[in-house]
Amino acid sequence: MTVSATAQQLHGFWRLVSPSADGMLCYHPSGAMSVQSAPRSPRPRAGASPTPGEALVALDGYVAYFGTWKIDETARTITHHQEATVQPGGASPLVRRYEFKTPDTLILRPIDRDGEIVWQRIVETKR
Amino acid sequence: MTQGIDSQRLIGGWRLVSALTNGKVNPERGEKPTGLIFYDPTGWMSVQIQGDHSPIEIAGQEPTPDEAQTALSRYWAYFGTYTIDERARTVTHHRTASVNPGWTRHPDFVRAYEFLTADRVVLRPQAPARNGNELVWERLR
Repeated sequence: MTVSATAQQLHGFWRLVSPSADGMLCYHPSGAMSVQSAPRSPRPRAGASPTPGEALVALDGYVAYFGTWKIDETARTITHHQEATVQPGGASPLVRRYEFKTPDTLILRPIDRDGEIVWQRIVETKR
Repeated sequence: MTQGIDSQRLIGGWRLVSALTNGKVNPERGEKPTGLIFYDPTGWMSVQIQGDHSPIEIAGQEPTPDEAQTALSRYWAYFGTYTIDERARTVTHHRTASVNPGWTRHPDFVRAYEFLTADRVVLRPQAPARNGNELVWERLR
C-alpha cells in the first residue's frame, strides 16, 4: 500500500495547544489512532473509587477514545473510527477537516459545526 | 541522554493481547479487553484500555451519575511522560492527565517489563501497588 505524503505527515504524537486542556493525539502508521484530552478543572475523588457524582464530574469534558483513522485527501478530511471510548452512548465515526498551518502544527475542524482544535507535533525530548 | 536498547524496543504502538490478574480474568476488564499503548521517541506515552462489556446505553443526551460511574469503572486512560530503568527493568509512567479522578495522589505508575519476543511485551505493575496484573501487548505493524 502506498502511504501518502499527508498520511506520513500525520504520523506520530501531537500535543494539544488549543483550546486550553491537556491533550495528546497519536496517529500510528498501522492505521491505529488514540486521542485524549483532559479539562484543567478540578476532578476530585475522596475515596478509593469515584462516587457517581465524582464520576460524572470526571467524565465531563474528558475525551478518550481509540480506533482507526483514514484520510481522504480530496476532501482534506480525516475520519476517526472509534473502537472504544470512555464516554457512554454512541461512538459514531468523527470526520475532521485537516489543515497543516506549519508542518508541525495541525488544525482539525469538525465538518458539521464550528470550532477548531490545534495540535503541535511533539519534537522535543522530555527525558 | 543515551537511550538504552530497551527504550528503543518499547518505542512504537502496542495492542493489548490479554490482561489477567493473578492469572485470572478480572471482572472489571472482562474476557477480552481492548487497548492501545504508545511510547514515542521523545519520552511521551499514552494508554487506553476498555473492558470487554456490552456498550453502556444512556437514557438521555448526557450520562447520569450512575452511568458515568459504570463508564469509568470499565475504562482506563492516561498519558504523560515515561522513563526507563534498564537495570531494574521497569518503565515508569509519569502521568500528565488521567480520566480517573484523584490520580494526582499517585501520579507515577511503575511497571516491570519483560520482552517475550521482539514484538510482545508484558507489563506488570510494581507501584503504587503490585496488584497481580499482567498485561500482554503486541507491537502494531
